[in-house]
Formats: sequence, structure tokens, C-alpha cells
Amino acid sequence: MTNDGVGLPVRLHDLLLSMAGRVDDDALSQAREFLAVGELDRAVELLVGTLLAGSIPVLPDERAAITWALHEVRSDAALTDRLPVVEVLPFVRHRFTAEHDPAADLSGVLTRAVSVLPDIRSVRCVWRSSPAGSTPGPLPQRVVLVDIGPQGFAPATSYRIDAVLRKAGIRAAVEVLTVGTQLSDYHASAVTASRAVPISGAPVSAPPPPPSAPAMAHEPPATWFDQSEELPAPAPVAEPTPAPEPVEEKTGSRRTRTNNTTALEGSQPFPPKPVKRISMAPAEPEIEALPEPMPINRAEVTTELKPDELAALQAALAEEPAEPSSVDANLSERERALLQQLHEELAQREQTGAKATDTGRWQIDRSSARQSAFGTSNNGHQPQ
Amino acid sequence: MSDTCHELLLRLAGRLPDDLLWRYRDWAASDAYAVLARSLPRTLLHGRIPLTDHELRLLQDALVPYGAEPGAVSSVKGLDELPPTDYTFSPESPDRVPMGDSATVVLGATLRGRHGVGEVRSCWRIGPSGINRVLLVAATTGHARLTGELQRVLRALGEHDPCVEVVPSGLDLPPYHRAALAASELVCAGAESEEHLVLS
Repeated sequence: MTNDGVGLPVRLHDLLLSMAGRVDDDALSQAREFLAVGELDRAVELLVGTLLAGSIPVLPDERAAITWALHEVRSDAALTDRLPVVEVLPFVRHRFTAEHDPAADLSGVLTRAVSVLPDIRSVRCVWRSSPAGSTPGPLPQRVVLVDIGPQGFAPATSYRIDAVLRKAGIRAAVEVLTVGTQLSDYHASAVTASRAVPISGAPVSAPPPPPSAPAMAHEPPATWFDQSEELPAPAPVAEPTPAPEPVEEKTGSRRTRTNNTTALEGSQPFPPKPVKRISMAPAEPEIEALPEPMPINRAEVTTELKPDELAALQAALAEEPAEPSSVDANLSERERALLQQLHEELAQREQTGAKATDTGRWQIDRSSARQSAFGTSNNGHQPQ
Repeated sequence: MSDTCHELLLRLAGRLPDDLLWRYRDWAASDAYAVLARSLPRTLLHGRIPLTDHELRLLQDALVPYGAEPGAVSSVKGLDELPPTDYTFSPESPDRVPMGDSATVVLGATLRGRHGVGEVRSCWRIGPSGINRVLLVAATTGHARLTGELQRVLRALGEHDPCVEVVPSGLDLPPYHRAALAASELVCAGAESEEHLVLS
């Protein structure tokens, strides 16, 4: 790892980000706090200790990065000697769901902090129903995803939001993502299944709220099974919702990816996020007094949208080499970027066509931010 | 070595932040002493947490061989004797409806009749950081590993910063543990039925 002008705290934040889902959330939260308050050595040592104690495997370049970090903070770089190093990380499938509205009680709590912190683009939230790390906490785990722009400061944002949530009695893993950077599978899956948190009074087109808020909203010290049955029963959920089938079929990308490797089977289907957000559940059924069945209608809209867009999409995907899983991350990014563009098209249509309500504004804002982010990242690391 | 480190971490209950203490105990249970040797002295110095002479010896014996900086260890403040604990303890949780305590049931099922385990007791600690369950376990062997195991169980059951105190036979209990024991209730007993937790 070389010094390319990125500050050490930001580098360490990125390192911690890459450990999400592999290290327990409390360790990450604490390490981010250390980062934010300038105790970088304690942050790195906490990470190393957690990896060592849990025998959590790392990739060779991750070990190199940790060794470098230890050296940078004047700690003992030899601590990484005992880290288990593997060429391919064991696959852990994380499951996310936005059932039992994870964002229900966050808006009021976060509004002030978000207004004070610089360049926060959006806040989203999701439940994770799979354990993380060797000493996992209780499930489900709420994950708060914060998008920040280039003016934002990831460690501070993470720390401050985490602190605000804790003060309100809410335990959550706060993952701060910088727009324009590539998402890991973990974060892509989380974002895909997440729900926007309405901030600064802007209502979000959230799906209809569940009949009752989850009892763990203000996490009591009690165990989950101490509580009533209305708790989000385990978690069959996970799959980030059905992806936009028509689009996938046309691109054929899903099929290709599925066929490529069995290893890919584990990776979350790439973000159906755009469609999920667009298909504002409340809006569709209302308009649909039409005789057409929903799927057909969706397909039409989708097809309508991209005559030339589709050509570009197919051209881009045609380059896609039938290569091993190492390429997977890039492919899904690219696809995501293209889907984002389609999504924006849809959003714009809706906005112009159907007089966008307030509800749409938040989403559109966010999606445009993301779109530009992915746009740059797309250019940045297409074929890597 | 493991026993020395375990005794030190046991004695630090109520003095080190819970979120760090359980993690250090987890590291000790997993033999991650090299990191502990760097991190624990730093935390003691950062929090200006003093140690008695006996505890300082434990710190040196347990962690200097694993790379703790002697200079850092020597800088830890001294303490003539442990003051009474600031926490209060109660046999019942003041904030929990008497609906039964599932964690206690799980712990009882896990530890009842287990080899090397004596009396298992539980109480609730009330302090500035909130209300926490404190589990007191008398054990004859494998203290660090038993601590790590029970911590993992309690975390999975909902306790983010579990307070598990596995007490070796014959240990002179610090004020924190004496106060906790005085307010505790029996959960179950392991195979070592003659191993009782006693107020000394």
C-alpha cells in the first residue's frame, strides 16, 4: 500500500469497511470510534485482535494492508504474522431484509446529526438476519447505510451517527459509503434490500409500514426470545427482492453469471435496487385499474425505456468475458451502473409524467447522486 | 500464564469499560496475547486506571513476555488498595418485567452438571452505564475459555457487553465481586458441587 494522498484515517476506514460482515459489528463500531477520535493505533490493534482471536481469515493483500497500517501507527507490524491468510475467502452469505420497517424510528433521531455533518447524500437502513464475526451479537442486526460525498468525512460520520443512535437506545452497524467507490458484495446486498430513511422532513416513498414496529426498535437488553411473538421471526427473508426480471432477461447477464461459476451462486443477485425503489408499491396498484397483468406492464415500461439504452447495455455486456468469479464484482458494478441509468430514466418519466410528489423527490435526489457516483466509478474501473 | 492473565482481567471488572473488558477476555480465551499485550496497557494508561501492586505484577507476568512494553507497564498508576465498587447490585432487574429470564434458562441448561464448573449465580448491576446482568461462576479449570464461551452465548442472547466473572477456587474476591455475590441468586451448579462462591 502506498501513500497516494488519501489520509490514513480514511484508508483505515476503508479497511474496516472491507471487514464488514466478517468481523462483529461492535468491533467495527469501536474501531471507527477510535479512528474518529484520532486513536489510530488502538483502532488497528482492535481490528487485529479481533481477527486473531476469531481466527478470521484474510486475503494476502488485506494482511499486507494491515501490516502497513500497524507500521504507520507505530505499532508492532509482526502482529499480523499469526493472521490466517487464505487465497479465497470462505463465502458467507449475509441476509438482509427491510421487512418490519428498519427505518421506522430513525428519521427523527438522525435528522439533526445528518444536518450537521458535511455532505451526507442519503441514509438507508436494513435488517441483517445473519451473524457476523466470531462473537456475533444478537439478531437481527440493524444496519444503517450512509452515503457521503467527497466533502464528507467517513470516520466522523460513522462515529457521530453511531453515537446518536446509541444515545437514543438504538444499536446499529453504521456503514458509511463514499459515492463513487465500488461496493463490496456485503454492502451491495445491504443497499439492495435497504429502505431510505426520510431525513429533514422529506417523506420517503417507503413501502407500506408493517402492521407493528419491530419490538427491537429500541433494543432492550432482553433477549429476542424474551419478547413477544411479533418479533421478526427469524429471517427467512434475505434475497434482496426479485430483481427486474425483464431487464435481466434481455441482457442475459444473470444467466451468464449464474452459469459461470458455482461460487457466484452465493454472491447476492446484483441490485434490483433501482426497480425496487421505482416500483413504489403504493403507486402501481392504484394506477392499475387496467386489465393488464402487472408483469406485462412492467416489461412494457422497461422495454419502452431503452431502445438505444438497451443497445448500449447489451454492447457493454457483450464484452463480458465468460471468466471466473474474479470478474464478478466488476460485472455487477457495471450492470448496476447501467441499471441505475435506467432507473433514473424511469424516475424522470414518472416525475414529468405523473407530477412527482414529495415522495419521489427524495428518491430521485438520491438516485441521481448514486448515478453520478457509479458513473465515475464505472469509468474508473471498468475492466479494472 | 493464562491463569495470571485471567486473574488480572477478572480484577478489572467494573474498572475497565465493559465493551473493552469482554473483548480482552475474549482475546485471552483465544490466546491472542500478543495483541492483548499491546492493547491492555494502552487502555490502562489512556483511562488512568490504577492497579494495586499485586495487579501490576500480574500485568507484568502475564503480558511482558508477549511483548508488552515495560515502559508502558511501569507507567500504569499505582493503587494502595481497591476501593469499594461504585456499582450497586440487585438480584432482579429493575427494568424487566417478571416474565422469566430466558438467558438464565439457557445458561442453566448449558452449565448444569458440567465438569470443572461449580456454583453459577446471577445478579444485575446498576450503574452509570445502565443495567447489566452479571454472571458469577465458580470454576476449577479452564477459566479463560469458559469465560469466552459464556460471553459468546450471552452476546448471542442479546447482551452486547456481557459481564461474565469466572472465579478460580480460592481467589480472594475483589470488592466488586463481593458486592455482586451478595446480591446474586443461584442459577445452577456444575459437576463440582463443592465449589461454592463464598464471601471472604
